Amino acid sequence: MTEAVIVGARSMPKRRRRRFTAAIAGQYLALVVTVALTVFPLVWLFLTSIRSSADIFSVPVHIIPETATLTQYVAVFAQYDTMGYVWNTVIVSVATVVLVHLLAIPCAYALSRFRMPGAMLIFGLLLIMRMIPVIALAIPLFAVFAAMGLLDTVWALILSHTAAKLPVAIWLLLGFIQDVPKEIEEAAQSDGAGTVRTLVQIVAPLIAPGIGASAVITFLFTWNDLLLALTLTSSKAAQTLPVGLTNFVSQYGIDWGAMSAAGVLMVIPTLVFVWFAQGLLVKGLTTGAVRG
Amino acid sequence: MSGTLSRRKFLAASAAVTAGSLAAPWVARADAKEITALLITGGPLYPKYWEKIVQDFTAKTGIKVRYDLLEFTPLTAKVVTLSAARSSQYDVYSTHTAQIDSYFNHFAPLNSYFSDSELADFYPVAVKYLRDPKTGNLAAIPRNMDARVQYYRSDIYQEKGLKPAETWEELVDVGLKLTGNGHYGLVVPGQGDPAQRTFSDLLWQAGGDWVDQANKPAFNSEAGIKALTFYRDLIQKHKIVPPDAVGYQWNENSTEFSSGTVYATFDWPGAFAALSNPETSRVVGKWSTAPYVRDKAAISCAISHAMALNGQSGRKEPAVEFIKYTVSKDAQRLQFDQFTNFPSSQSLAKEVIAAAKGPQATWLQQLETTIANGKEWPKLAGFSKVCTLMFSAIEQALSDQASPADSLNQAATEAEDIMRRAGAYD
Amino acid sequence: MAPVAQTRVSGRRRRSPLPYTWQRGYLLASPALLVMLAILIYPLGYSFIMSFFRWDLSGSAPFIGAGNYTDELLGRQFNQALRNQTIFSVVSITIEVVAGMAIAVLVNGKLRGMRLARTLLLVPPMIAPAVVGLNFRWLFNTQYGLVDALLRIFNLPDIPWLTHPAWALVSVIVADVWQNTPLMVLLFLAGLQSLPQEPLEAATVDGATPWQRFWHIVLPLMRPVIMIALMLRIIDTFRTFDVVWLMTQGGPGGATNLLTVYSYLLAFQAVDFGHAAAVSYIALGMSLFVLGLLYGVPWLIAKRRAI
Repeated sequence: MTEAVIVGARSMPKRRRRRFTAAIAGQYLALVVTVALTVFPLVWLFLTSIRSSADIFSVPVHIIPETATLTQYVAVFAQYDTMGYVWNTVIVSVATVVLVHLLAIPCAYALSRFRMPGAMLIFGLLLIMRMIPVIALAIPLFAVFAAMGLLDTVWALILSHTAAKLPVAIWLLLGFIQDVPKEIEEAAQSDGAGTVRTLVQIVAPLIAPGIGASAVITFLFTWNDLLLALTLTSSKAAQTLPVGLTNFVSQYGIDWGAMSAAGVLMVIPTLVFVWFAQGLLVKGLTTGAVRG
Repeated sequence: MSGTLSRRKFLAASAAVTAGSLAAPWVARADAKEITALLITGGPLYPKYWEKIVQDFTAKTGIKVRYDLLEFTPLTAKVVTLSAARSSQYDVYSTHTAQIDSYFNHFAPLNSYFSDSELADFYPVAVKYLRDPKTGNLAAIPRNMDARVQYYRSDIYQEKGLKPAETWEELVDVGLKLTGNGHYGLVVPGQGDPAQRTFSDLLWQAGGDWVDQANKPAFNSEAGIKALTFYRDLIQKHKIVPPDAVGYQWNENSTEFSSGTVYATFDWPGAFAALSNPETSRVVGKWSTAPYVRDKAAISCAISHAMALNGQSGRKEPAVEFIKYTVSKDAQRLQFDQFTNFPSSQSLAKEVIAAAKGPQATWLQQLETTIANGKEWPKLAGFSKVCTLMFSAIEQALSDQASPADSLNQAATEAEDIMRRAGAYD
Repeated sequence: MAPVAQTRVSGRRRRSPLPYTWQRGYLLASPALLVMLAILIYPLGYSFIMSFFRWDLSGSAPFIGAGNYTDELLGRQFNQALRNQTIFSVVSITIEVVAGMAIAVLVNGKLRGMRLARTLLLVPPMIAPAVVGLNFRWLFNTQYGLVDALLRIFNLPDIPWLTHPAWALVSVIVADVWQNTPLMVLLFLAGLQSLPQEPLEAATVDGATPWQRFWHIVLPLMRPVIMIALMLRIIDTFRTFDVVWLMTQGGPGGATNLLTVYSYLLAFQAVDFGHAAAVSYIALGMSLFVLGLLYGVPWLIAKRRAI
């Protein structure tokens, strides 16, 4: 990365010393406030998850739990059979990532390299598909999968997520492919490589960071989805974790403790990716935008 | 009907085209010895109950039942989706009086499968509101009754020398004496369907009703305005109800009582079991039941969880056998024994009340009284959509966005329009 | 895959050194396009067509032209939802973009702890809206929630976050701002870091104040990034559902009914799919229209200036 451009003090080297304290202090203040506001709802989620059920409904509120307990986490697995939800969510998310990229990479390659009539139409459709409110699709989508006999299977979720996540993945990958110098491909082709080989052996490795970025994004957005899973599943055979989350709400009570514990579990993959694949995530979220 | 047919064909044909190349693994199951059901669950005991019912049924008839279980709210949404797609995935549905009017043309009528003498044993109020008022067709058969009584903290009441409220005035008086130090005297829900239920009870108690003789909206009568004003004042003026109640559904309502924060509520039969269970209740042994409050009349809703037959089902005969089994006395007795669900069979109800002892007997008698005086809102065409309107109108009054009179008058005008367009007056 | 291979064999005899023909393009693109067509476009088309029918469970479905649309456009509940949607979108997007830009500019430096801060900022946009909605519902509970508990510590009165109509709208906006401002920060940080250095250095030499440099140089250069950020947020605020549904279900009294929430209520409570579909398509049309304005107006102005 190039040296960051600072709008504040740092780009004025001569006066740096004099303005150092005030400007830097201001920056730190902004940083601390931002981080605090970002973190505190999550801390509250975590604190709720380690409270006893009695402590959760205590008046006045104990901001720091009186005692820390893992009973809510135990309940999540023992009482609510959460492992099944986790497993379904993992299968759906991983399969969606694989399928999306098998389809999106050639499509993005075609759209960025080949002179395709109607490409503008395709771009327009991609944008519209990105814009559809899922509610509008819920019932007809259900009918489609009912006709296929795939209702209440992970396949219904995998296929619908694949279709829903494709536009974003294609869009993201387009940008990365455009950055690959055409000369490299031409060299490969004059050596006798065909289109598919060029794509698999030359282009794909060059855009690996882009593929990684869109894989991470696709994974997390699939992992987090509630509405499609709610619509297309009705049993433990295919229900995912966000649907499981709604099961803590029953007619005779909301189990806030266990629900918070499940919420914490849901956030774990996000934290893992944020920690270990931060670069890819930032790329995935910002690439399309910064390119303009 | 031709419109439906062509639409259905369009949907089926185009979906089939979509599915064509995928060589769908779906094969129509013509096996009459197996049926499918989408059933209600709630709490840890329900799955075991259904397992037992299905086992016994299969042992008796040789018909296998594959079933899925959903909680009430997701179940309702799922049945809507399945019906919209004209799905035959499930032959049998768990359903409920509340939204039944939407399904009059979708569930297969059960009249021909039940003799008059069989039907006579079900509570009349339950059967009445599961019928299409236009055709008289029975859309579902009641499995257990849903009605409410008052639950109150007997320990606190005794300590303060209070008796459970019998009238609206007493409800406020008692509530005021109990409210303070982070505790509240009463909790009522204030969002969505639960808000409409609560308003509905108060409307009848004040002497009003939803519609007049000509089925025109009448809930904005003087009684209706009085009821909604009283409801709002419990929260906004007397402040004997937690302020967040405006956003509460049944579950949070129940939680306020079971967590010990609030000292009285009106709740469903299932609360009796939930409040007795130390895993879900912090007030075990500290509560008691009393009749619902009254004003001019002592009326509140008496509705039922019911079983329905999917009109699209290709296995109607075995499916009806299963439905009949789920509402049989044996099944209802098991249901009562396991989680005190109140029977829909009058004769069985008499038996269990006679056999009950102590607080449970008192409670069952109170419940039986509620059911005997019970009512439900009308099952006119378009009323489900009127409900959506009512949620909003009631919430607006409860949250002080509009006066009770204004919000009810507006809702009445719009409700008449909705019902007219839905064909309620044709 | 077989057809692709065949084309490759016949094309290998170098008819052209650049075999980027449109046929091959479509072959490569078609699997993805077909999947989207089958799984998205078909249901989209179906529900769009059905939005012109009376579509419920009543057994007959007559064609009623634009009836569902006119009912809704003239209806009180729709217009309330539209008003809420407008406030929700305008206020949350404005806060997210302005705060996002301010934070990005302020933290765009080599501060100690900057890496950690950036890591933490990635979390909110990436966690499930369902978790955000439930968590904020609990945070904003008047009796047991953290926010009012904190207010009480400072002897401030309780705020009826979810039960007062205006506060309820504020609450869902707060949840949306919490989840999405960090995304804006990340976008703008990436934008700031790819700005050309020369104009800024030149301005510094000319003695411009930091504010002048920001307003006259940075902001115009950042325009493309800001436009994309606006586009993303406009699209997503018109699709927002989970957070609001789990916080308020559109209540109290429709005070937080957004178009998607209203559409959901129409479909699943009122069992009126035709009207529900019409509301969805009005929402889609509106977000297209707003995007059109966003990109069309500056284009028109530029064009006029060119003449």
